[in-house]
Amino acid sequence: MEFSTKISQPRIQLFIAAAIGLFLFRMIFSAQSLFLSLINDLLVLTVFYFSILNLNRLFSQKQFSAITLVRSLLFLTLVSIVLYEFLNGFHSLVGIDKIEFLTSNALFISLVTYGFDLLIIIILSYLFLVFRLLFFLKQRKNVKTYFTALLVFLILSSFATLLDKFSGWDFVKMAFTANAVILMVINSLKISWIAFLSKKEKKQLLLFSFGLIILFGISISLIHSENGISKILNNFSPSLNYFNLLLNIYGVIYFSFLFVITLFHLPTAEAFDRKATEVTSLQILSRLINQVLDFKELGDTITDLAIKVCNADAAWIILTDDETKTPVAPKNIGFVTADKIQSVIFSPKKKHTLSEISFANVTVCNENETKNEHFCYAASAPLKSHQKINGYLFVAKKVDVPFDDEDKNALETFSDYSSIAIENAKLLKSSIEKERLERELDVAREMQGKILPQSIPKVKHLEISSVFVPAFEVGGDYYDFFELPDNKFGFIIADVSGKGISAAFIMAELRGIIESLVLTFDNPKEILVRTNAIIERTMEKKNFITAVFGVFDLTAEKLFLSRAGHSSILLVRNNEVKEVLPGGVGLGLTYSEKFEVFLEEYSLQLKENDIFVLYTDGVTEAKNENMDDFGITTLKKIISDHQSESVDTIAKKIMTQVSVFSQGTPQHDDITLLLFKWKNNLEKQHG
Amino acid sequence: MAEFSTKHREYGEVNIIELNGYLDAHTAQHLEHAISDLITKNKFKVVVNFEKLKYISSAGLGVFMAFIETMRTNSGDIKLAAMQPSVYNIFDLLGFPLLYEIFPTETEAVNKFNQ
Repeated sequence: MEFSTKISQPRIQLFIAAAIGLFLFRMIFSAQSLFLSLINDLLVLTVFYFSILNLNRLFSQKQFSAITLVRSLLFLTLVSIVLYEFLNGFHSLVGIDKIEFLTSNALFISLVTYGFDLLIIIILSYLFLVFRLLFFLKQRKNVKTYFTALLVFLILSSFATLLDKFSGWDFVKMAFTANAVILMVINSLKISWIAFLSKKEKKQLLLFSFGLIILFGISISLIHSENGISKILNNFSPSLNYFNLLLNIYGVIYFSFLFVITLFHLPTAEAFDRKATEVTSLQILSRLINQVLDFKELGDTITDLAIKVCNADAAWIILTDDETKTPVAPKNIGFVTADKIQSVIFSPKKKHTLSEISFANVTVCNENETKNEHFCYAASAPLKSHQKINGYLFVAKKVDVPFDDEDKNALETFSDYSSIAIENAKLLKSSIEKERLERELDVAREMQGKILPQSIPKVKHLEISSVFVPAFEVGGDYYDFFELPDNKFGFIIADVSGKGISAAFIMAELRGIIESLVLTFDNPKEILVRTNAIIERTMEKKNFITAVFGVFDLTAEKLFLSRAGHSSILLVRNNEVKEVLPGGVGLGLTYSEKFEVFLEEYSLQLKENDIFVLYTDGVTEAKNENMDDFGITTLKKIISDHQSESVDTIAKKIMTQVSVFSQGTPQHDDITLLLFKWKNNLEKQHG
Repeated sequence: MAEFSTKHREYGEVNIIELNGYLDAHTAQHLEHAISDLITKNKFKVVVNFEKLKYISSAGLGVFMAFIETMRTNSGDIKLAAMQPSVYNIFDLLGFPLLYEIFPTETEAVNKFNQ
């Protein structure tokens, strides 16, 4: 504000001091000469100035809207008119034209009159301040000069009344007044702020300014006529009286212009309102584009704003990757009606026209609908990003007026923004999902790494080799070795169904179960049957484990094993690779006695150079580019070709072939190989 | 990602689900939805036609295990039919034929229900 806070505290005291000074001056001198009148009026001006300073403090504390200002003006003029009427009555009651000082009664009357004078000063300064605020409202250019010029001419013409009164030079007053009035007209045209009002506010303003024109008119007639108030004021200060008149004239001019201009603005008010909502909606949305984590929240915002922007009554979104075509974030519409409207919009069109905005009369959908869902027109806009349609934004309205070009443009712009927002939300979601998945898989891989044996045990008469290659999405392969009492050696190879962390958990559980069971049992069938009974408590119905549990009896030179749904065991003997496939269903496939019934016990008297190859389906189901399986035949051939070599070499040969075969395609499952070679006799010979 | 789709048909009381493509951990959910849909509609007699299924992973097998109990307790069943040899081999290794009814053709599976 212009009247800054240079003197903050003593303002009210200054006002009071000036007022007392003025009163004393008036008590001592009666304004009979031009000089005394001038001093009197200068003192009045000082009081007026301090009154403005004090009131300005009230205004500078917060921003007032135009409507509030105009409303306060309305109130103020009403109050002043009532005051003027009252003063007229007061004047005729007291019946003084000239206040006779120094009589006891007169002192009281002059005090009371002076009080009213001060009140009028306060009202006038308030009036002036409101005018000033209105003038500077929403001004972009520097227009201070205009207002200051007006103020200067107002004061000059006010003081010129003294010249008129005492010297009869009325032309000076006239000249200044003419200038002031011209400036009033110019300043009254600077009312660009009405453009920023909503339609409702404009209607209010129209009413208020009409009222104000009348009130200012009444006020002028009261001041101008030769009645009480005019006499009182003239007696107090002719300049102030004239200033009051001019300010009221400014009021009439200002609000006449305001009335007419607002009237002309009214028809476009609605369009302006819409543009304004459009702009704010887009602002909100563009802020959302960078914030939204919650897809539902975004959808709600989009449909909410779409209704505002397109003058519609209902809105909803359909996403193309959702096969059910369920409306997302529907506003003011049910699924059934939305579905009907969609089919009307989409039915007669070919796919390519759907990449543009489509409109349709949907009154046909109104059969069997309640009043609430009675829509006449609907429009759809594609939500495109990177030339791909991700979905559609629908709006529908109940009024029987089609969507116009404005609505179309709004919908177009809005749907563009929305599709960016939706795309961003999707990308964010998928990257969060991906990161979560990767972290989960890291944990799963770490678990698996800790569960699997860190080294291969040394067993007399038995060459052992193992290979484990984890897939990116942990496949749940598991193998382990156990040194058992009575010179026995056990092993397990297993494959848990499913992938990732859930498979890793089951694996960990399985290991715990097997480790504790081998402390008590050494019969493969018994161990698997008991394992099956234990996992029933924790395993989900859809999960299962395939496993082979085997025990080498190193003393009896025998192998015992049972197979629970696992791939075959390959046995190489006499230059021939044989598939050993004893009956048995996977762990977790059934928890009834059938599991035990179907589980066969296989045993074999070991012979020198017997090779056993155990594997998981990651080996045989390794895929090449044509999605062909590596297959058991190939596996058998490699083993057969290298049977005379060490198990480590055989394992290496298999892995080389597998990686050559599946080159260029990602490994989708864990690969586990377990190889044993019986080397008893050789050692006996040497030993 | 491997392609997978299902088709649903009804043959009297029997619901036939045709599988097409590759059924693995990623596409298993799709089949889960298809079967749980039938359960919500109180349809418990299901024949799964494997004719066009090229591959099934352990997660794919798990889908049948997840639902068979519900079907059987509601006097229905999931019967499997028309598998390619490679697919049948996987079921066979696991011991499915001992617990589930697997038929060479869809008609045989449907007839079994109507007996």
